[in-house]
Amino acid sequence: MAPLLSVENIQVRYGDLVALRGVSLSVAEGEVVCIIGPNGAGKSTTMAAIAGGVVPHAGDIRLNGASIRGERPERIARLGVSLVPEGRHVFGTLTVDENLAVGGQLRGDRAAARADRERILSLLPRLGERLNSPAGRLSGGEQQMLAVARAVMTRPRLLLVDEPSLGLAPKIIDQIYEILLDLRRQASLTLLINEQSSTRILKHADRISVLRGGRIQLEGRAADLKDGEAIRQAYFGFGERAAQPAEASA
Amino acid sequence: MIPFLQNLVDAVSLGSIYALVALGIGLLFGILRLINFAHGDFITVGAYALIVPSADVTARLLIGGWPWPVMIPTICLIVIVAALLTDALVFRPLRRASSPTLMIASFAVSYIIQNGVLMAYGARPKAVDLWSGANSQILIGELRVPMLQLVTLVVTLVLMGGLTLFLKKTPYGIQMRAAAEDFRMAQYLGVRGNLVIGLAFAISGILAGVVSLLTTTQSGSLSHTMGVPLALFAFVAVVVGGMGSLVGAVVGGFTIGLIVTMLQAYLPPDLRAFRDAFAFVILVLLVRPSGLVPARSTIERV
Amino acid sequence: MGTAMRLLARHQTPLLLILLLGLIAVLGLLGGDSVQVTLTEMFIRVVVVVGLFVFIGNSGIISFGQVGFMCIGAYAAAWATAEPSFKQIMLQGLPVVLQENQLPFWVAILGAVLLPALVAFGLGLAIMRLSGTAASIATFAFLIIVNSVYANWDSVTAGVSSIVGIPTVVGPWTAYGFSGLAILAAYGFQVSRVGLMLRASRDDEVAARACAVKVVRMRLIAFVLSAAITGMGGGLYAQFLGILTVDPFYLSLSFITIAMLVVGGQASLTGAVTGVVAVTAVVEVLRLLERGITLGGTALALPAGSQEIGLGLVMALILIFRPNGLSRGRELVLPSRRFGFAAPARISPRPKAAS
Repeated sequence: MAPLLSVENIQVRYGDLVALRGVSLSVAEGEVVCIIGPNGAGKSTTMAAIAGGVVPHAGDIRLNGASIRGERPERIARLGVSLVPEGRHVFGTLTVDENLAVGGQLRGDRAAARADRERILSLLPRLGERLNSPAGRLSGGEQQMLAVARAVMTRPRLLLVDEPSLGLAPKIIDQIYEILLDLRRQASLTLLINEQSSTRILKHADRISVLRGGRIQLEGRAADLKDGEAIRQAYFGFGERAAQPAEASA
Repeated sequence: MIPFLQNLVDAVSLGSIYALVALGIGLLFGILRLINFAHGDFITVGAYALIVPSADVTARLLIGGWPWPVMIPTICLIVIVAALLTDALVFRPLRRASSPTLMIASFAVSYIIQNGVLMAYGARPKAVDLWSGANSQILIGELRVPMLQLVTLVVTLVLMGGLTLFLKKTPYGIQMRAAAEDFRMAQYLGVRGNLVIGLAFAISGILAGVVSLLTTTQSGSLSHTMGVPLALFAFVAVVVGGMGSLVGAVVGGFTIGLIVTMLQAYLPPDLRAFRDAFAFVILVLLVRPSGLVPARSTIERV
Repeated sequence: MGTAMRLLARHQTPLLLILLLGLIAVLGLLGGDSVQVTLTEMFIRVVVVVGLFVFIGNSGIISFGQVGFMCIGAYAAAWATAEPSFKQIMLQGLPVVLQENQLPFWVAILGAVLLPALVAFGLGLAIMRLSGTAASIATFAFLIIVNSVYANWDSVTAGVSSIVGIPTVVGPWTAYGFSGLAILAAYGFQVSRVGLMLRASRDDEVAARACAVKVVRMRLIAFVLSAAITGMGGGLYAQFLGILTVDPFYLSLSFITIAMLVVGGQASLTGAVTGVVAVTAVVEVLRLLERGITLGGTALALPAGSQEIGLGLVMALILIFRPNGLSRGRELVLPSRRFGFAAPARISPRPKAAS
């Protein structure tokens, strides 16, 4: 059976700047996969490409075996891929409830959407208390929770979460992960998560890919990478891999 | 006191027109970052749809002669179709274009529409009598209020109320607000970009259609450039109001109505010809980089 | 190969453009009077559009108001050189010196450069701090103000009636000379430090925001220079027509000149110049078709107004299918390697792909 998501050797360029030089990865139904890599490695670009925000110049992206490369973002969302972008991007002038409604709008079944809303709010009581305040007034952690909740409201099969811990206190990050994993159990979600550091993610992820310089440097099961040395090497480019000179951009 | 109040009534009624035009322009700007020069020409299209297309000097009413419950929706529909057509033909292929490019494109659309109207109807302004009862006056205390001004005000309030309800209470309205704030994010959540943009064009079409009826009734004449000054004042209203804030656009529209009317009333007679120039100078001085009502959501791109 | 040669190679673009226009002028000699008139008008438009380019091309902000500066320049020239007998009757608001004398052509052009520049400085101080879109709208408002003031200020502009008796000293060669001057000035600006920095700010909004004060100042400089060149175009126009009204300096002309810049490619000087030539050609063909041609016995004519609609369509199509214009935002350089290692001054980063 085809994996839920397979990214096949995609390349992305922004003008003269090459962001991805051939990235491949696959995510099977029910898995938690994490991409880790330093700033500028191409993690966000990878996610944007999957969600339809940028179109790869080469390579293919398949969802359940069918190509979604070049589809519009709203179409990909309707196929069951939802993105929680870096920097959260909640609609600041809309209320919390309205933010959730935007997430829920693509569902045909209104009753099911309402039920989901209740379920999500029971997991996130802090959002429930602030349903009618503008999302822009929430704290950073609350906004991150709202961004996750809003994405889950589209009832995705695959949830893309781009750097959920960026700029948040460790305690809040733990909460966010708890919620993500709770949601994953309850909504049978598949997760692809970007992170800059592997410390937290190693215990939650099934598999890990290390991305640096627009290429996957290392890929493996989280259980096999527990000691972290291989990850460190791939992440910082020590050892033999560093001997390969970085290609100059065109 | 009475003359001043009389002027104030004029100001509010003129301001409502500018506010309606500014709303139509502000709505599209919010979602597309498009300053739509052609909005004024949508108004022109609505007005010319009232009469039989010919280059004759005297205009014969066509749709304008129909009973108003049919005429008003028909005119609005025609303008909506015109607005959606420009979107489909010009702005949709330019979805990824920059804000200045969109502005130039709308300038081209405006030029094409104006000259199209010119080609079909001839260059001479045409007299049209849409509603002869428009100038009958109603006495409120000592104030004489022309019927049309009252109608204008009521129509404006109804349209604004309706738009507010639509934006706050309906799913599509909420999606439009979301798209106006962060278009790409709304798309990531499955909001159909072209649908929302089409809706914005349609609503701006309704607003333009209503304005064309109001102004034609008021002035009693048509010209192929009749929409230009309206659109121009409305652009300035949108800027004064803070770009991207609909409330700001309305406030800006009323501010302009007030300034123009008061200048007309209180400037010395030999300076009245320069009324618009004075109005613009005052407005330019009024504009702060963030406008009267700064939009919370939109940080305008440099 | 000497340093002079290398310098020439480095700055070949303006010279090539001037050469190209010269070629067109020489070819025009073969045509009749009407061709001479079209050519003169075209060269004046080169001046105006190059002026437009100095601001729009370098700052990335669209200005709809430069035609207003053209108007101011044209009237400044007319004030200097119109028949004193006319001025004393019709333009009694003018200073006596202007009323009683017919000043030479060079003074007229000087006035047509300085007065718009001065006005642009004042206007620019007020609006250059605005965001790009707001500034564009303000320039549009400026155009309306100029139009309204010049149409109503009877004692100095003769209001809606025309100023007559301006010596018609501008022919194709004079206009050509000034278009060369405008090209050199624009080129000089865009390779200057201010020009380079302004272009960098256009292409990189983050950098632009980081040094906002400087950007405002650089935009102001470009705006003033642009107004001066456009105003010069206005002065030439007055001295070409010999009769002046406010009407032509309005939305149509604003549209046509912007269309020229867009069709050619607003990011390069080459674009500005080729745009004028290309649009003039298109408009002339459409004008010809409007007048009608006979094909095999049947007379074909486009309805009046096709010219304008055609131009609008051309512009929309260019925006959609070739957003960087005919020049693709690049400058004209010789293809050969004859000039050796001296690369032309690289003034324009490659146009960015839509992202």
